[in-house]
Amino acid sequence: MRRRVALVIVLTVFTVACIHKQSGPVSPWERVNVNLAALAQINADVAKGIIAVQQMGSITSQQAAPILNYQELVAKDHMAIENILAAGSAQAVNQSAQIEALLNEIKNQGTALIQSGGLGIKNPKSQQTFTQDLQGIINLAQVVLTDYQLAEGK
Amino acid sequence: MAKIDAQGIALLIGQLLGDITAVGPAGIELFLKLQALFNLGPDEQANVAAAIKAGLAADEETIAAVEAWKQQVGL
Repeated sequence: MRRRVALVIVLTVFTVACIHKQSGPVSPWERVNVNLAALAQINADVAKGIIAVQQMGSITSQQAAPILNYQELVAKDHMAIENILAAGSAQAVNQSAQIEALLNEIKNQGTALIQSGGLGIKNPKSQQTFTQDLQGIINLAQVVLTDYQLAEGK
Repeated sequence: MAKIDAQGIALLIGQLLGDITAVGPAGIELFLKLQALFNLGPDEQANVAAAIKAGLAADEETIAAVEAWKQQVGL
């Protein structure tokens, strides 16, 4: 079990730490967008994992509901950020306060959910506990926030 | 660089295969999706557009899965 968790963490850290580009350096905007896409992908897998364990009977629908509400909030916040970014970097700079507020919402609500407890069960999709998965989403939100501030030149 | 002999390579391959089996297809699927995401081509605009598209597709998947689950359990 420890070996599985270690492998997934190593693989995730390896990939998150290593954005490869065929030529030239990775730009700040590429870093922001790629890490945001990774956040959305991990979020989707957490949601599917929670639904799977609830359907297997490992948790009740009452236990699953607040977690899935959070996954939906992350997806909607992420969509709102992407819609701003899709309009171009100039538009993103104009709406930087909104982008930062959405990323902070993802971080703060995720932290509150972890602190509420009961997320120590394993996600069959990632082989990590849901606490570890959610912490991954929170960490990625912080990485994106830092990258975004760098891209803006703050 | 450290040298590795045939026995070492066989041991390493055995460990990797064991780990891949243990993680299972779902873990590997997530890893491959992330790996594809992190391998960028030379064109910045194309890379950003591809990342946005992948992120939005994942969001749609999440929202659809959660909404379907809510309907199923009557929430």
